[in-house]
Amino acid sequence: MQRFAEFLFRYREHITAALLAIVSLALMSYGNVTQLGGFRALIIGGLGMVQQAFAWIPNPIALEKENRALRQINLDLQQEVMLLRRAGVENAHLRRMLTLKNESRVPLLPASVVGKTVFRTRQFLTLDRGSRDGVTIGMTVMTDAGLVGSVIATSAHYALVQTLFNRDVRVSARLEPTRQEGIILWDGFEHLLLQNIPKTEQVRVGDRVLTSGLSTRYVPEIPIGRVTDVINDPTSMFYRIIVEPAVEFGRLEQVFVILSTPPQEQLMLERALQEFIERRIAGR
Amino acid sequence: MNRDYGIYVVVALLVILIETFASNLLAIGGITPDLLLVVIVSFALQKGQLPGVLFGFASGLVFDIVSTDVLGSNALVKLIAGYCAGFFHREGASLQSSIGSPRFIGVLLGCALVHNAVYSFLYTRPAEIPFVAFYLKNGIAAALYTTALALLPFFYASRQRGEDY
Repeated sequence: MQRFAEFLFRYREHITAALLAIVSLALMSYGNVTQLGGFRALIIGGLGMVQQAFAWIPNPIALEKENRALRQINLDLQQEVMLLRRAGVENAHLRRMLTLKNESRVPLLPASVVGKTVFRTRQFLTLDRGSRDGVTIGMTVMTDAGLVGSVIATSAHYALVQTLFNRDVRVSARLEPTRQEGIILWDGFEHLLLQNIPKTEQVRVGDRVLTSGLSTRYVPEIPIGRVTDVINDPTSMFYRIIVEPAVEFGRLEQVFVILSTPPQEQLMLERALQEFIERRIAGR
Repeated sequence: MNRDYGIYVVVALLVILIETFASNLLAIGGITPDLLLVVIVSFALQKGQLPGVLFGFASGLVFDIVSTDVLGSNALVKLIAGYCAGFFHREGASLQSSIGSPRFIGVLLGCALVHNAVYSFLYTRPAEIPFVAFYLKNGIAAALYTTALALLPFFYASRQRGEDY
């Protein structure tokens, strides 16, 4: 016993380090610690207030670039409006013919980006809208250019948005021309990756990538970006597709929160299916 | 002695607040310095390996909670940094002699490289992000940036010691 105590004392640094490393790994595997939600909301509130206090400082270079980009977007939108008007008339006619249920427009809440936070390599935005404005966790955030990310935490007056440039983000996406479904994720640098597109599909540089309707997390048909490179990996059945994001994350000032969360009935059904599959796997 | 510990705790909390509230002001090309790592390495050099490990774990855990990072990830990498830096501890070393020596810069750079390698590994493991490319771009750049910022306390402490570098 004494020898054991001597051993412990002699190697206390290494033993403590090993034990704490095990504790850290256990915490990591435990995942989402919901008990911290209230504390984190407090932090977000504080973060938002401090960042808003400094948000008035203008950045003339960013403003000039934003003006130029907005003019270009305006031009593109005018052309799209013309096409959409024609398509709208045609669509209404076809819907009447097919007696399809009309999709309601999603309500948008404009919000200002009052802070950009970079924790190591994870990017977050702080918005000046919170739970009092109806913002809840899981809501989609976008600009006129495209998808920004989703709300991951809220306080009364602020919300924290996880952008697409984040390891933990997976977006169900589709290629606009072929409607082929894939998964969008961050490549770790300045672009996004579109995965799960089989080589039997025709993919071209410049093709638009949109959010798909298969995910309950993001509202469908929001532009994500454009294909900039299609890599034909001979060891895989799928293309490696590089996508340039539609949104310029470095210059974000105004965004819209889509005040819509997935239908609870659909979520419950999907959760029940997932639990059923997990039970079947566990029982095997 | 106890006052030293208190000062380190206050400094660590201040640094966590700075990193939380003003990280984008310190970011260069998306790379942010790890000021908390500087504090942990200084602490481990002055106080030893066991206090370094405990301090690294505790401050990393607080950072995880505040920063919404995966709980335990910063606790792990920070305790590793404290553990590594503790190997270079000299008994009876003062704060000035720990920070004001060129050894501090070397130890900090080494610890930052190890720290960022482990963090990059943990970060890229569940994703489709290539570890080596990610570490070369983010890990090494962040380690150099952190070390460059640590030159400020180094020069200050070396002047206090009466040595010029």
